[in-house]
Amino acid sequence: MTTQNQAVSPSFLKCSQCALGKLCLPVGLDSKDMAELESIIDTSHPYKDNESVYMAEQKFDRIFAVKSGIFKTVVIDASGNEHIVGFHLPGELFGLDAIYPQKYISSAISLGTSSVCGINYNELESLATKLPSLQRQLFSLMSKEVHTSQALAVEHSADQKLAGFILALSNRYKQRGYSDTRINLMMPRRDIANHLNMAAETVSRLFKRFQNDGLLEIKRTDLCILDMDALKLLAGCASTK
Amino acid sequence: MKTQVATKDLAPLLNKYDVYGPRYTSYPTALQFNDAFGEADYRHHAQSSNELPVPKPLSIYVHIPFCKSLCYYCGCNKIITHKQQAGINYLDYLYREIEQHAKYYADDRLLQQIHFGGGTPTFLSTAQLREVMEVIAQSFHLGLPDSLEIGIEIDPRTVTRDEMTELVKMGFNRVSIGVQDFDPNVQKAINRIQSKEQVENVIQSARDNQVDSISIDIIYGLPKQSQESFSRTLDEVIRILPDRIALYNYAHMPQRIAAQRLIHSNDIPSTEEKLAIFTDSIRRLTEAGYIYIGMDHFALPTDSLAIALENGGLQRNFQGYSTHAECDVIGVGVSAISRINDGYSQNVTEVSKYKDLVEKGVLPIKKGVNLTPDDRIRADLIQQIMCDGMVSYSDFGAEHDIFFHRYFSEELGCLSDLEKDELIAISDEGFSVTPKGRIFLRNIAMKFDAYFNQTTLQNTDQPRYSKTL
Repeated sequence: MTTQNQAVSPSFLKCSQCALGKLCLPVGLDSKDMAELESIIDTSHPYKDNESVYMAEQKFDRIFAVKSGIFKTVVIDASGNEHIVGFHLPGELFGLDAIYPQKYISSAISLGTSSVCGINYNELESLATKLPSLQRQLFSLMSKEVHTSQALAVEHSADQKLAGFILALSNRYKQRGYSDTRINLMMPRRDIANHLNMAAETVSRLFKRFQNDGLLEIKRTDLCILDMDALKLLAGCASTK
Repeated sequence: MKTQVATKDLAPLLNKYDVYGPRYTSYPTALQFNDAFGEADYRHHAQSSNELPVPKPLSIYVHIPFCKSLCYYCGCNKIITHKQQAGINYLDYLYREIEQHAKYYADDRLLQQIHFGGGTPTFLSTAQLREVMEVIAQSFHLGLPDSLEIGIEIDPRTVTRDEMTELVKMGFNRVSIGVQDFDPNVQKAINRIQSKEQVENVIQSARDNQVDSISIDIIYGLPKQSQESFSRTLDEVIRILPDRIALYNYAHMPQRIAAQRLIHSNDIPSTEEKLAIFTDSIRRLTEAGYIYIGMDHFALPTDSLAIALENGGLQRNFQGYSTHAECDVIGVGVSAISRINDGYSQNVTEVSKYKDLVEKGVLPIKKGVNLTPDDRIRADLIQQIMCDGMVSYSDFGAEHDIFFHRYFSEELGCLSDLEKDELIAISDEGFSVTPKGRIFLRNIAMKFDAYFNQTTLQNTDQPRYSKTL
C-alpha cells in the first residue's frame, strides 16, 4: 500500500506527466490545450521545512498548486495571533483568496520538504476564457475551497472537530487515489491544535482517547483509521468534505 | 512462545556463532555516533518529539559514575573513590543538566521511567538519592504511581537492610542486585568480595517492602570459575528465586579495559569450560522454571517480562528489555545516552569536561547520530527480532512503505545458515526465531545491520564489541 508521503511528483514534471493531473487544473484538457497550460506554469525548487511561498500583504500574481508534501496557510488576526486557515495537500490549490483583494491575505508555509507549481493568474484567466474545460475545473476547485472554509466556521465540540478533521483528510487523500484509512500526519500537533482552535495537549489527549476507543491507531505520525463508521458518527455534522 | 531449549546440541553452534557483535540496545549502535552531533540536533529532536500527534512518554537514565572499589572485570565508565564529596560535587552539575533537559519538553510529556545506573548508584547515600529524585520530580511531570517504573542497580556491599527499606519507600520498585558470583575464590579474583548474607539482606528487605521486581546479575566466564563452582552459585540464585536473572558474559579484553589487566589470564576458564557453564546455566535456570527472554535475560513466568514476551509487548532500550511502551529516553550524567525521536546522543565521559560544559549552560553532549529513514526501518526490524522474535514480510512492509523482499533482498539471501542451524524458521510469509535461536538473537539481528561488517571486526586485535555469547 502506498501512503501519501511516498507518492511524490518530482518538481520537473509537466502537467501532462504529473500524477496529480486528474485532480488539478488540467482535468479534461487535450494535449494541445495542456501544452498551453504548461507554458504559464512555473515549477519551483522544493521548499524546505517552514519556508514561505508568499507572505500576507504581498502583491498577488500567482495561484499555487501543491505538487508534493503539504503547505499551511496562516493569517495573523488583529491581536497578532497566528491562525492556520488551511492545510493544502498535493493537487490542491492555494492563494485563491488573493484574487479579489489582489494581495495575499495569508502566508503560505511549507511543512517538511514540499513543492508547488505557480500559475500566473492573469495568464490563467485569459487562457480559461479560451478553454471551457479549464474554466470549469478552475471554478470547481474554487468552489471546493469556499465549501471547506465555510464548513470549518461552524462551532463543534473538540472531539467532533478532531474527528471531522481526520475524516476530511481521509476524504481528500482518497480523492487523490491514496489510502483513506492510512494518513500520514505530517503537520506538527501545535499546527493541528492551532487550526482547530484547541490546545496541543487536547489534540494528543483526544487522539489517545480515540485510540483507547478503538477508532484509530497512531504510530509516530502514521494514523490508521480502524473504525470509520464510529469516527463518522462522532464527527456528526462536522465537515467531512 | 515457550523457550525451553535442548542444551546438549548447543555447543557446536555456540562455537560457530561466537563472534564479536553489538548488543543492539540501540540501532545504529554507539559506534555510529559522531562528534558533529550537538545540542542543536538534540533540541531539534526534542521539539519534533513534542510535536508528534501523541508524544511518547519520557524516561530518564541517571548515571552515577562512582564506585568505592574497583571490580576487575568491569568495562563501564567509572571513577574509583572513597570521597563522598566527589558525589556531592557531581550532583550539583547533574541537577543543572536535568533542568536543562526538562525545559525542552512539553508539559504533557509524563515521566514514566526513572533508572539509576553506574558505576554504583548506591555510592550515593539514600539522602542523596532522595535529593536526585526530588530534582527529577521538580523538573518533570511524573506519571501515575501504577505506571511509574523506578529502578536502581544495587551493590549489596553498599546498602544496608534499613537503607534498602528506605529506597523502596522512596519509590524504587525495581532493583537489580549485582551478585556476579557467590564463590569466594572468584570474588577474590575479581576484587568483589560480598557475603551471601549481604545479598540476602537487601533482597529480604526489598521483598518485605513489596518491591515489584527483583533482578540478580550473575556473570559467567569470570576468573577461577568452573562448571562445578558456578553450579553452586546457580544453586544459591535458584534458592533465592529472583523475578529476573541477567546472566552476562565476561569478555576478557585487557588490551582495551585497563582494570582487566589485574586479572590473571591463566585464571580465565577455557572456551570449552565457559560454554559448559553457559549451557549448564540455561538448562538449570529453565528447569527451575525461568523463561529465557533473550540477550542474557531470564524471568519467572509470573514476571512482567515473561508475560510481555508471551503476548508481544516486549521492548528493548539502553537498559535492556522492558515492558513499557516506547519512551523517549533522556540520559543524564557522564557517558549517559539519550534517545529522543530520531536522534541518539551520548554525554562526555570525563567528569571535568562534563562540569565545564554544564557550567557553560550547554548540554554536555559528546557525540550522537541522526537516524536516516533506513536506520529507522532497520531499528524497527532489529527491535522486532530481539523482542517479538517474529517478522511478517507483509505487515512490516506495509508499516514502513517498503516491499520487504526487495528492500532486504540481500539480507534475505544470507539467512540460509541460520535456517539450516534451526535458529530461525522461514516461510513465505516471514521468519521467526526458534527457541534455540533466542540464544543467538545478536547473530540474527546482525544480518540486518547495515553498518556491521563481520570480517573486519572479527579479525581485529582490539575488538570494539564484546563477543556475542
